[in-house]
Formats: sequence, C-alpha cells, structure tokens
Amino acid sequence: MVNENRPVEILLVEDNPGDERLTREALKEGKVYSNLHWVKDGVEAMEFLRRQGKHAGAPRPDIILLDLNLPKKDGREVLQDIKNDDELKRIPVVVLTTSKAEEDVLRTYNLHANCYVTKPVDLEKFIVVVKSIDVFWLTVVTLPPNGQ
Amino acid sequence: MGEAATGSVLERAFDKAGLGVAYIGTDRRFSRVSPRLCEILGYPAHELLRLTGKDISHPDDADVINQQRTRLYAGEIDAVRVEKRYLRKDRSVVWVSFTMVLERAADGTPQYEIAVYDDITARKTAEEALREGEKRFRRTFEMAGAGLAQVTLDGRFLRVNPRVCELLGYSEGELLGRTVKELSHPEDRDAADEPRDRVLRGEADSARLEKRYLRKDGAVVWVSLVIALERDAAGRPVHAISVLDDITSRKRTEAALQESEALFRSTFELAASGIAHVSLEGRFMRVNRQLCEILRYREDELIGRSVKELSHPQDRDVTDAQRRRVHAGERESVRVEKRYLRKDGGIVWVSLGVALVRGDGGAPLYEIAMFDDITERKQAEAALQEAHEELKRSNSELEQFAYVASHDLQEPLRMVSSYTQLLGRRYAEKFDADAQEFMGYIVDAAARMKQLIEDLLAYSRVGTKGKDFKPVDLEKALRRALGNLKAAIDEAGAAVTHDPLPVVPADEVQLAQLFQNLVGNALKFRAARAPRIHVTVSEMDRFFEVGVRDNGIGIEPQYFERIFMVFQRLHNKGEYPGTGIGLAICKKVVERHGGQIRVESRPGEGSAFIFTLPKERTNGG
Repeated sequence: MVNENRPVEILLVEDNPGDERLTREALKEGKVYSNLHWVKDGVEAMEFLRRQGKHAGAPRPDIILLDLNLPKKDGREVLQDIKNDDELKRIPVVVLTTSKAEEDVLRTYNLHANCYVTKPVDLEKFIVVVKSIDVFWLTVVTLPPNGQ
Repeated sequence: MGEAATGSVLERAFDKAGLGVAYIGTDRRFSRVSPRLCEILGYPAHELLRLTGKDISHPDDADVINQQRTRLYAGEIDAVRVEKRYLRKDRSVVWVSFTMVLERAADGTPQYEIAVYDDITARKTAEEALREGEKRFRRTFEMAGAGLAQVTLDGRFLRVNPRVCELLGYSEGELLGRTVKELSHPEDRDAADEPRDRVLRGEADSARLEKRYLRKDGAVVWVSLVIALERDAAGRPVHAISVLDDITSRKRTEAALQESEALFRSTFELAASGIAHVSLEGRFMRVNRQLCEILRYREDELIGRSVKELSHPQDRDVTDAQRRRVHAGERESVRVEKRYLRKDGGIVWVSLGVALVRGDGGAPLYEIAMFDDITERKQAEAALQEAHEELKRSNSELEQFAYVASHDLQEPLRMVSSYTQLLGRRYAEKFDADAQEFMGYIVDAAARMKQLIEDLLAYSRVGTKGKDFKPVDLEKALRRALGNLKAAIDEAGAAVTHDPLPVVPADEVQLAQLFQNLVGNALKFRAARAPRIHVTVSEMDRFFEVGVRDNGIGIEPQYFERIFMVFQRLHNKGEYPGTGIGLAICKKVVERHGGQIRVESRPGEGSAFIFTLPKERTNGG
C-alpha cells in the first residue's frame, strides 16, 4: 500500500515533547523512511487534517498516531471527527494508550479506532511498534474484533 | 215445774250473753235446750231433744268429756270444762266452750246436768290461722336461701336460720346470745352501726350494706346485709331483722377483675411504647404517658384530637391503605414508619403498629395504635446512608485517582526507561561496564514499577468494573485462562486436568482471571518435578466448591492468611517474580461472587486453593 518512492507521512497528535522525540528517535532507530508531523492538541490536529491556517500546505497523512489525553480537544473527540468526515475516515488511526487498563476502558466506548497500542516502557518494543508502521500496521498491533 | 221457771230466767240471762244452755238427763239425753243452743248446734229443739251430746259431737271429740264427767259424778270436781267440736246438722263444724255442772238431790243422788255452750268457732279459726301462719313463717325462716336473723337491739343473735349457721360456720346454739360484732371482720366491726341507727331513727325502712364476717374456721366471708326493724303495736322497735347473703364469690370475681384491670392499666401506663386507643373516626380515646412524651402533648390535649392532624403533612395518608386492610380483616395488624409533628414543632419518626378491636359480633370497636419512637434509628440510618453515599463518592474518586495516577505515573516512567535505553543504544561505546549495569537497573526498576501500577489498577477495578452476572460455564472460563497461559504451561511441561465443571451465575472475564491467576501461581511455584494441576469440584447444598490443586512447593501454614493480602510476597524477586497482587485479586473476585477462598497446603507436597461459588445469584456487580 505504501509507495516505495516516498516517505510514510505520519501525523503524531501528542502533547508530550518527550514522547514526540522518542517517536522520532524510534523511527530513526527503526530506519523507517518517514515524515513525522507533530501537532500538540486536538484542535491543531483537525486544522492539519483539513489543511487550515498554517497547515494549508500539509500533506494527507498515511497514518495517524493519536494520544488520547490532549489539551483543548481530547483524542476521543478527534477520533469522532475523523470518523464522521468522509474525506478523513479512511485514514488508519492508531490510538496510543498509556496502560492496558486504559485500553480496556477505551474499547468499551466503541470509538472505531483501527487499533490500540499501549505505549511500551521498553524502547526496544517501541522501536518494533514504530517499525511495523513501515511494513504497515498489521503485524504488532492488535486489530479490534469485528474489524472495526 | 220450778226448775223450768228458774231455768227460764237463767236461760234468758244466758241468751243475752249469747250462750246456749241445755238440761241433760242422767240418760245423757237433752231434756231441755235453749233457743240459742239450737242456733249454735244448728238443730231445731225437737230434734235435739231426741239426741245425746255424743250423737252430735265431732267424731274426734266424742269422748273428750268422759273422764271429767266421771270425776264430776264422783264429786272430785265441781264442773266439766272443755273446748270441743260439734257437727251441726248441715255437717259444718262448730267449736264450743263447754261447761257442765251436776245437779244433785238432797241425798246427793245425781238428778240432771246443766251444760252451757259458748260458740268459740271464730276464735278457734283465728287461732288456727295464726298457728298456720306461724308454721308457714317458721318454714320460710328455716328454708330461706338467705340467712335470716333476729337480733336484739343491743346486737345479740336472738334467732337464726340454718343458712346463717352455714354462712358463719357456727351452730345455732353457738350463735344465739353472741353479738354480731364479735363475729364481724375487725375492719368492718362498726360498719353496720350507722345504717342501723338510720333505720332506728325511722329515716329508712331498711338499710343495705356489704361487710365481712369471720367464720368459725377463720375464713373471711363477704355478706350483703339488709337490716330492718320489727316494731310493736305502738311502733316501738322490738328487735332487728337481718337478711344475710353470701357474696364472697362475687367479691372474689370483682377483685380478680380489679386486679386484671389494674394489671392492664399498669401495662398500658408503664409500657415503653406509646399506646393509644383510637376511635373509628380516628380520634384519640385514650393515651398513655409514653405517647404523651413522644408527641410532647398533655393527655387532655390529645384526647378527642384527630390522629391525622398530628401526622407530618407528607405522611398524613400513608397508613390509610394499610388500615383498610385491617378493617377488611385481611390482616390482624399492620406496621408502618411515619413522621409525626410534636407540639413543639419537632419531627418525630415513629414505627406505628395498628390493630383493630372487635366486639362479640365482629363489629369494629376501636383501634389500638402502638407508637415507637425510632427517630434516633432514622437519624442513624440517614447518617449511614450519607456515609454510604460519601463512601461511594470517595470510592469513585479513588478509582478516578487510581486511573489518573497509573496513567500519569507511567508517562515519566516510560521516559526514564526509554531514554535510558536510547542512551545505551546510541552511546554504548562511551559507557563502561558499570554504567551499562546501572542503566540495566534503571530499566528493570521501571519495568517492575509499570507492572505494579498495572496490577494495582487491575485490583482496584475488580469491584468497580465487573460485569453483571450471567450463567457462566466454568469450563469455558478455565479454557480461556489456560489459553492465556499456554506458553507457560508448555514451558513448564505441566499437565492440567479438571473434574466436570458446572455452570454458575458469574462474571466470565473475572472467573477466567481467577483461574489464570491460580493456575499461573501453580506453574510459577512448581517444584523440581513436572507440575500436575487438577481442578476439582464438589457440589454442596447452596454452592460449588472449586479447588485448584498442584504438586508444587507448597506454603507454610503461618502464611495461609497473609498470601491473600495486597503486596504480600513470600519469596524474593530473584526466586519468583511478581508483584504480590495476584491472590489479592483472586480473593476480591471470589468475594464479589459471594464466595470465599482459602488455601490448604503442605510445604514440599503442594497446595490447593479452594473457593466457593454460590449456585444462586448473590448480591454482586
């Protein structure tokens, strides 16, 4: 699915600079050919996706990495907006959770995320996760039941 | 004849006196009879003159004069005097006072008899009547059901009937002459004085009173006494007449009644509950002290007042439907909890019981209402409810806190761990062996802390995030657990077997977790030999007892309790990894299902973790 001639366009919606840097480093360590676009809150994420304001020239991301606890507009609302938007709803969304417990709770909301990934404490595992984006996101992440 | 002339003067004189006269010959025949005599005897003269006195005498009296006549002739007496009956010609009886003298010749030879007849029938009849009356009176006196006594004016028994003797337990002889007072109960000795004096003064014909006497055997006898007076012709009192009735049994009944009345009254008054009799119109008829205290009203303020009027406005009609059921006879009594308004405006919570009193025919008479002040209990309940709400709130806050804490705690943890590892990857050649080892500790610690946080979160979520109970096939739950443990089972070369497992109402996810933790422990704490794990089931009356048995290292008995507590570990992390939360979660899951968990073990031989699961759904979820 990914064009070999161009980098994977990744939109990271994350308010924690440590995580942003870590993701960037993991992509580097994993030698993933990618463009990482970073927005810090839900409002900016939607502006990026709709190419509004300073994001007028933004590319359409191949995948969105979405943290749920965001300022201004949280990840659940962003997910809702994406899935209600015909233009955007086909973009795969990987919801990044902090704990397995949080993931359990989220599943009950039926948010139509393509998958959930608990952020690993172990860098090695994270690199594996990030790498899998390169070969696409089917290997490591768990697909929710019923192909939601 | 000279005698006749004499006789005729005599006859006239006797005639005037109303007396009959007869001359009787020595042959006993009437030789001459006066007209008055003919009247008395009811025969005409010529018939009498052919008869003797004996001929016309009453058969019973025919010979009554014989003896006297003999003596008269013998000169021993100068006259015959008898009272005797004759039969008149019409066969009626006439009583006669008969006097007879004997006329003798000069030489003493009897010549004829002169008899004088006085008709005393009227007197005799009166006497007879009197005698008859006396007899009747005596009979009445003797036979009367009541005790009758004649008492002298100075209070001595003059005459008593058998009933008096029976009543007082003395013989007639013992009673006569004794004073009434000495037989009276000491406390009632003078009780009759005043009533008797009233009768004596003529203010009343008779007086009635009740007093006690002491029987000869010492027993007390209650008597209803009527005193009257017998007066002579001049109206002067002669003696007193007393009529005595034994009323001991009536008095005893009265006393028993009084006692039961007193008992009831004291029960009513001293009861710890407020009690009221309420009319069918819903008004207080009778209230006890306790009720006055509960409602803070005086008794006289409550009597006649509508009960509803005192109810709290919001509770005014809560008893209506219930009371109707009692009136309809569907229920004996009902109990409700409601509020009343005290006189001081305060609110009092009352547990109110209402029962209905019915008459002989079953018609409702009045209600008995029992009031128990439960204000304190209600306040305690409210406080408890508040505390419960508070607890729920704080629990939910705590859960929120645990969630946020675990989430936010993991962020920095991830940073510490990930960047330490990043350092290691990028700058490995610049760090010596010590630095590498130190970084290893940092990464290990972060991983363990993450596990701790995850487990703690799982533990806190057992009670709050569980699902509703549905019938769960335990075998399915076990299979799910074994599926999750497949790698560990294979690695340990363990054999896991089980009895046929039942279906119970449960939360399947949590039961799978329970099996996973127990089987996981059995694998983790295995001995050198290959682990054999068997799940047993025993069916009890109300629950199933499920056991997870292993042949592992076992547990010392002193730790049987401790292992179920959070963060309690028996081994150091080097031997067996873990956070010490697994069994705490098991305990919480079992308890949420209404069961209990315990361990049986022998060190070196193995352990059995045994938990119960109720067959019926208990309070959970």
